[in-house]
Amino acid sequence: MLKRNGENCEHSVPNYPGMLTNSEYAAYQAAIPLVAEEVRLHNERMKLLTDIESQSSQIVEKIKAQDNGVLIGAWQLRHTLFSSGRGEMVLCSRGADGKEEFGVLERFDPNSAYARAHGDSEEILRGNDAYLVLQNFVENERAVLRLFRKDIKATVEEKMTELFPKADANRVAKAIVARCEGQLQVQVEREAPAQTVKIRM
Amino acid sequence: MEVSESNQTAKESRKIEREDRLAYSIPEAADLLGLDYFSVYRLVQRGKLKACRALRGKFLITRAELNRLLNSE
Repeated sequence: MLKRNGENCEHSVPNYPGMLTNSEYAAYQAAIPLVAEEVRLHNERMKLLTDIESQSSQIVEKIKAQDNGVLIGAWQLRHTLFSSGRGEMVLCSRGADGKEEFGVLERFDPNSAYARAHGDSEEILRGNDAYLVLQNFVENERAVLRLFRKDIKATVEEKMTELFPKADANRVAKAIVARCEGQLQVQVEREAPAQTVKIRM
Repeated sequence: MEVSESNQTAKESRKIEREDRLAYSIPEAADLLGLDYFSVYRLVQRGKLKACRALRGKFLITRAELNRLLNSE
């Protein structure tokens, strides 16, 4: 049996290819609740993005059939992509040079410090093809989630170093991120296999 | 109205200034800006907010950077 730091590597954990020692496994079990909320937020947002990606065509059809939406500056709100207690992301449209233009706007709580300094909405991206705007939006948001995952990994390492100085914090953090990513892959494959293959093209 | 909003922004800016911390984690920065986590990561990803990385790679936003963001147009 493989040994590391004098301990047998005997614990396998979901989606992580390596085996953990007793100390690493104890650290892993202790770390999960410490970042459970972050992992939940991450997975929830990833699932939303997968849903938007797979339903892009339906969303585009739906907004084309709409007449009027709430006005946000020069934009008309067409579809709410997701919302939180502190803001929302919306798909909007407007007429520009005789053509219809689509944009994703982020709306903030108007009482927030950021909104007071920068206004209560901000354009994230725009284009003439609503479908492409949505696809680009999903890609951008996945890049945002990659930053979030880096932070989750760093948080685990930081907490592990404090709580379990003997365990390999990096290995434990990698195992937790693998668990998080693995769960998502399983979710994507189970829920929308056809769309996933199509989108990867 | 504009004067009042500008005063409030100045107050928020002073609130950050009063804290003796030099840098904030993303959740802390989100609370100070009144945004959710993802909005702050989005600002970092779009290059509107500069983040630095601590020893283990955790993102930190300096107090000066938060003040710059709140005082820029």
